[in-house]
Amino acid sequence: MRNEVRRLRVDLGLTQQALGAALGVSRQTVNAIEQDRYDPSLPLAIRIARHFGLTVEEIFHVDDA
Amino acid sequence: MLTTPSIRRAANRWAVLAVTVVGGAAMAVIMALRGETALAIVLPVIIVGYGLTVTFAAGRSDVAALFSGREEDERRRLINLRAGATTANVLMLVLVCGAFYEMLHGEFGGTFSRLSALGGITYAACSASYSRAKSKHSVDAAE
Repeated sequence: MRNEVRRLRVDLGLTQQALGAALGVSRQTVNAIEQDRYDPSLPLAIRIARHFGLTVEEIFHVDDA
Repeated sequence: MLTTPSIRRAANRWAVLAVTVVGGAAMAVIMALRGETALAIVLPVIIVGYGLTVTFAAGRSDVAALFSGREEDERRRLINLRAGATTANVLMLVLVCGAFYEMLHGEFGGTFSRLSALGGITYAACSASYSRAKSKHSVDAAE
């Protein structure tokens, strides 16, 4: 599942550490999400969306096989 | 949204180091009482070194963080669950192979056989329990 987390984070001038602290997750988890190595749970995806002021669908894009 | 460590998290962060210090001290005493001076020095150094390494490397490494007991977010909890399950599968394989060895040597009912049975019963009980339990992700970033 592709996502816009890295672009949105950079646009806000946040480090991965800072975004992780804001979301309550580790820096490594933010990195894993940005690199598509980890799909966040629904509550975490909603927290991410709220943090950036967007909807979940605007940030996370499901690849239809 | 909580961004600072809770008291519980802070305690968890130092718990592994505390355990290794206590463990190292116990090893030193035991080895000293047995007259093994070299081990009385080397073993505590190794185990306290391990505690220091995982505690202070936890911020940079998922593995160190998990060894130091810091599974603060959902991804680390998932890694911990998967690593635990894989470890259990490997141990069960060893136990079952040991049970077959006992069977071949007419020792069926020995240690490996009983531990294999315990593993199977534990898995069945856990599966039944978790299939009935609520399975929800925590919505509190602090948990």
